Amino acid sequence: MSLIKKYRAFIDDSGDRALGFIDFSYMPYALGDALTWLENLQVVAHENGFDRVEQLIHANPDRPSSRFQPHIDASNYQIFLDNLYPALLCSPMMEAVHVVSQPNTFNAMLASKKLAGVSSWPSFWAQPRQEIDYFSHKRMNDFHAKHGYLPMLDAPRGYEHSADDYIARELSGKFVVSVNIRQRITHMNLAALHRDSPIAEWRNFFERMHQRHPNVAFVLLGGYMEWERDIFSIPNVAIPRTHGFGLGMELALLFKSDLFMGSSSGFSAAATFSKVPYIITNYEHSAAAFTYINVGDKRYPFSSETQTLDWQQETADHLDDLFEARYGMIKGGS
Amino acid sequence: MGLRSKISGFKRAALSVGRLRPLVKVYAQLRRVEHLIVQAILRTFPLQLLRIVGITIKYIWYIQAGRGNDRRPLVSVVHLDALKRPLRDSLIIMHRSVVQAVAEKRPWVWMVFVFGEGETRILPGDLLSASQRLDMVSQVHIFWSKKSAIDYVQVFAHEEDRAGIIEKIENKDVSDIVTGSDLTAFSVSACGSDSYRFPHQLVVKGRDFLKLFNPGSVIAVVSLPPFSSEGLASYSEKHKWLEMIAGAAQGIPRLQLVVSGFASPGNDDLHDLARGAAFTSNLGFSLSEEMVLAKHADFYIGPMDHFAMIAIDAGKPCMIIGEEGSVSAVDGDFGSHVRTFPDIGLEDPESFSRELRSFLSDAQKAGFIPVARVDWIEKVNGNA
Repeated sequence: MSLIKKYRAFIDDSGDRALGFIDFSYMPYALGDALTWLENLQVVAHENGFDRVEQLIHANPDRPSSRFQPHIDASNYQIFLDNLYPALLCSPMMEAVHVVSQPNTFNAMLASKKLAGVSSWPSFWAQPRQEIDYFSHKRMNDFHAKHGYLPMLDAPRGYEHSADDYIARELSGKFVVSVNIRQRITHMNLAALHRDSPIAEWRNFFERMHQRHPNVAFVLLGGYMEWERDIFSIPNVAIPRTHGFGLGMELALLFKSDLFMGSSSGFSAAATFSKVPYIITNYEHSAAAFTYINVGDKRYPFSSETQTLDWQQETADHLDDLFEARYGMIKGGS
Repeated sequence: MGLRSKISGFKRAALSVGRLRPLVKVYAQLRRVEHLIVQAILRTFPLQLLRIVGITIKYIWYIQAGRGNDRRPLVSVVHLDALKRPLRDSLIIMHRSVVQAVAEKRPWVWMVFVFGEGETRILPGDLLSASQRLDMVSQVHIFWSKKSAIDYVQVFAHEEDRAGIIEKIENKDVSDIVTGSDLTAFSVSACGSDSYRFPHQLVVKGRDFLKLFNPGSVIAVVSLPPFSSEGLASYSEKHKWLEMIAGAAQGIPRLQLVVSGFASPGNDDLHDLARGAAFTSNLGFSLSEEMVLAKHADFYIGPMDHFAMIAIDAGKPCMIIGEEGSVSAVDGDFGSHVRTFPDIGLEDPESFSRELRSFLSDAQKAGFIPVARVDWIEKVNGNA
């Protein structure tokens, strides 16, 4: 076969969908960053007129993690990858997922797509530069300013029915509030502990709500180590992890809940790019620069009236006020 | 030199290091500045251009080398909606693909999973997670449309295999993968390839968990049959199975049950049904962690599911119960450590109890129970 023929045969003629690629040798294993990456991919697809996306994930055992996560190495990177997979399925535009461990194949697939002129997030040149903007909202804000809408994330593919079953069985007739209380102190990697939330204040808040609104159920999301044992005995709190469910089910429940409340962390990114009403608490002031808002702003440029940011450290009283105002607004609206 | 002068020598040295601290700080600052300067130079246009040219040459090299598939991997196609038990059957198919790849001297296995139009009883996250457990599986592709699967194969599969793979994608009846329940040529370890491998931290966690029960106890991983005669088993039917297994286990000294893959809405009931048993789903164990337990516990009781696959492959004594036990035409295919009991039903708990004791006794005679447990087995036999 001549060289030209060889090149021509190499071009992946899949020009009907956008490509998103992740190389974990420079992209962190983090829920919020993965969801922001996915949202960027959806925006790129919409910008280029596609209604489908394809993902190419590269986890190379020889370079399993970025310099920001030195605790992730060849012996444990698969645990982090396993934990992240469901988040990557949160795009309703998903057509295919490729998980590749060999760099040659990954680069060849990228080259093939590039030759075919496929639109991608990030740009193909991110790969040689080993750089990606995985946290800023710049592209989303620009897209929203131009088009007046943002393509939203949704329950991870394949988990929708399980979540419906769970709600019908455990939370039937309830006003469902999904909650995430950031507790990084309980993790192996103690990153940005100042963003953690006081769990005792949240517990007091749940107890108050149990007295006042028995029809409200709180679904606690997050790692098994993150909740305290006494929370388990509060009747209005459900913890899906104690029913054998993982991140996929938790995300599906978040997308199906009536309200999300929680710290500015991975799960809040899912709420941010959804239609679910939310209150993101304890918003990190220094993060404002990356999301292109000012400290104290009540919402992102693309958020709705029922989706707000709160900049204070949580107390039971403050959570109470926030919830009551939002609950009244949603109930009044419905 | 006396001790006193030695100590004062250390003190002096420590003090002089302390005096150097500001210098160390200055040095650290200089290193930072140096790093910034190097980064700035690296980001200049000519160097960026050089890098881009370099990577372009690299890409051309990949193309020239034949898309990285010049060593001709084995590509397996799995139609998920054609499988009765998608997770277990996918594992079986991966097993068989690895065995075949070794026999054909292929370097890797690429798995192509196709979701059909109908509902599929598998979570894609579980599929991705389970498919990473065999080292020879170097690529996993999940497609929600046949067209995108064919697009991929047309470019990346080896030329000689391409037409055959596309035919399997287009027509599930042609695929050799729809017969997942055929368990012949089963053992990965026996074919010389690496068996299921789990991240080290998970193995440590699993083994610690088993030790926490009681270092001297004998631990059985229990999974519950998913089907009844009328289709999917209900919670109440699974409760009955659990009650029967726990009842039989109660008469056996120092036997602890670890129930995997099952969480019931009425969690309190479970603990009444099987006192002292651990329910890993309630303990926040992931699928991979539960698989580690199946690999490292002393034996397995349950249907022929994905946990059974792991236990069988690890050479653990396995008591395969329920109609799923009949999937293998010949018990010998699994090895002598596995016995199938397709006819054991909920109607006869006494018979189940007898079979359990007999199974354990046979497993000990065949050498599958470690020497340290011999006295325990004698007690089991004594109580029988």
